[in-house]
Amino acid sequence: MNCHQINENLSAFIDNELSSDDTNIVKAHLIRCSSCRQQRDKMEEIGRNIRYMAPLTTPADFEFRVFAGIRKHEARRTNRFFWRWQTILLPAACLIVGILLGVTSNSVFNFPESSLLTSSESTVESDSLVAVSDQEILYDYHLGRFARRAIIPVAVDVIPESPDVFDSLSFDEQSGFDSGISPPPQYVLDNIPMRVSYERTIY
Amino acid sequence: MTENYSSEQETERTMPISDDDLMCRFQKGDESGFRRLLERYQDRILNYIYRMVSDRHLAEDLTQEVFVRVYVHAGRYHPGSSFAPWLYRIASNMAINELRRRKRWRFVTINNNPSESDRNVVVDIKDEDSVDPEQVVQQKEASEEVSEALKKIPDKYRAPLILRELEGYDYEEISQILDIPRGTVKSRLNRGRALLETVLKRARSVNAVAF
Repeated sequence: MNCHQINENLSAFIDNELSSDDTNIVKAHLIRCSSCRQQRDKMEEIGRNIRYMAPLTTPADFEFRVFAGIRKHEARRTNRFFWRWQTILLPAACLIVGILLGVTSNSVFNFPESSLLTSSESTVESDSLVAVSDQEILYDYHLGRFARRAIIPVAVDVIPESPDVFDSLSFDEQSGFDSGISPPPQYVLDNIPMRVSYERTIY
Repeated sequence: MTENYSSEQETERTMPISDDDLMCRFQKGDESGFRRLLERYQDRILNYIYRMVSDRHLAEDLTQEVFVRVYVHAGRYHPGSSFAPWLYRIASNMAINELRRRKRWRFVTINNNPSESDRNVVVDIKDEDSVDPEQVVQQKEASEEVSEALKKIPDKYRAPLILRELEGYDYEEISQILDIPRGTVKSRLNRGRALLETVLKRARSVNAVAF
């Protein structure tokens, strides 16, 4: 081996990681080559200096800190577990509901708007029916299928004596009638029909 | 109970329980196994990580995280295999990931003075045949020089050097810890030592010019 090849193996020679044959070759070379011997000495000195570097010691509360870290990690893992299931189950539930709605929408929801009103409200003028403002889907156990529940604003001319309408009356600018307040006495006394609006829940 | 504990301690003094046994105990639910391993390795892992990241506080945090991982992923340890290389592998990965993260973000130190904790490092020169004080001082200075030089060489050469010189692992163990072939360990150690020598030579020549 020449000096270059010896230098390639010098580190492993110092660490006793060469085969016995290679070790003998390097030893023989070192006896006759002062430059490679010098190189070996430098490497050994560096090793010594690394080993003599000032060691650090862990602080007194280190074990406590490790266990605090463990508890924190466990708490985080539990939270992650629940969050993961929540993020899987919630979209899955929405998807199932969506599919069911898609299947049943033709039969359940495509009914004419006029049919939403009962016969007792025949006095309601056709233009008084406003667009459906809010709706939600519920499972109707009696019908055995999904049904839509909607709250629709209705404007209707009522006779103040009619009892049930006033339960859900809201303010009407035309009549000045406010929800929750009994009709003004003169209306009641004179039996004056009032245009009032109220919200009615339909199924 | 106390009697049992003291007799166990006595047994351990005469015949220390192996790391593997302690880890197996811990895998079976005995937390004292983990505590003893923590006691055995906390300083060594701290020193290894400190030499890799060169920041005492960060090294403490990473060492803490290493043991948290050992606790949490104890099931991944295969009984019968060597515990120390497994532990050092976790530590190496954490240190290398941290170094990569820092390179990506290019951290800039505002205060150039070494931190209080770094300056107050206790110098523990091993008492080998009562060396003379002047030699101790020279050795200390040389070690500080090497410590600074180590920071300047690339991580891939620094890690095997620390594992070999500071921790005393052989090439096979270093290869397991760093997950590189044995031949690569050999070449990196050779190159690392050569680089370290070059850095030291340059530092010495700069100092010589300054004085």
